[in-house]
Amino acid sequence: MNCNQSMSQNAFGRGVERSFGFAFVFATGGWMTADDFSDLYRKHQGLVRAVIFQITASDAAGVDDLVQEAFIRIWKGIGNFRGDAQITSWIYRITANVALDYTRSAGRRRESSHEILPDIASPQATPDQALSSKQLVEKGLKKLSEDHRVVLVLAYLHDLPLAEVADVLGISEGTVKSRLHYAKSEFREFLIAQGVKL
Amino acid sequence: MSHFDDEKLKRFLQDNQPVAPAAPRGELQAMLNKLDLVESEKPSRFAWWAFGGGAFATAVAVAWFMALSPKIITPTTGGEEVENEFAVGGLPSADVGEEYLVLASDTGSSY
Repeated sequence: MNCNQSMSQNAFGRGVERSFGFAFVFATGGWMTADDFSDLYRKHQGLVRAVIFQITASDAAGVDDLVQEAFIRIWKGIGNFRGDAQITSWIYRITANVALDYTRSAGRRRESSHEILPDIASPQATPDQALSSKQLVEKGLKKLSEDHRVVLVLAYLHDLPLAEVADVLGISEGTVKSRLHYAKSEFREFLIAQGVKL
Repeated sequence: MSHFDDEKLKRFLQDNQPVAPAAPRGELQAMLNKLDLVESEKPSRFAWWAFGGGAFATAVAVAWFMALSPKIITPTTGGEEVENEFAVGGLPSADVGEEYLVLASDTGSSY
């Protein structure tokens, strides 16, 4: 997932206008051509889309809108990007903020209105109703609070070091550890309830 | 409560992580169009340069005026006396009044 540092130099080319760029896009404090933006999108759209989808558990249309919102924020914030930082960390931070803003503003709870999976808590549902492992993970993530889910997504699904998770979310590493502990406990209880043994 | 190994849990999550739907066709172009729209609502690059250049030129002009203005408004010292220009033939030149000036400039008169 991590990207090397040199990519940031190529992707942004800050202060340098490419002669073949067909349009110049002005961002506060820096220049980014349409070609630069296209490169950035192609290299990171998968990551942005995955993080948004996993944190918001949104539907396809919602994900598309949020991905667009994330890339617009990336474009607007390019002038504030510190060259010494990992560009992927910076993208993770913006993307996580977009996803959390969405879930919080929409007041989305664990049982969202976009639920498409069978309700496991219903009397008819049993562990034997064969939710696939992928469905289990999706369902289990939805059960978590936003704060716990985002930590679990970044630390376990995307395998980011805890220090980087803390940096991305703007919280202390101790808070990350605490939230990860609770997230794992909740997820474990969910899996046990589903009869899953790891 | 059974024990869950952290590494196993992590592997289980990674192997079965939710996969986002693919990007819709033309998403990048739609973003570029949107960014172009946002860009058009901002002052153009030329406007920034014109504004900056104008501000700089104004500052230079003000500085130039401030530097030269004392020489313009401060009377020179050292004996330059305007009335000497009118001292013809030892005639008194001070405070001769408007009438004298009119007469002296009237070359067509017999005076």
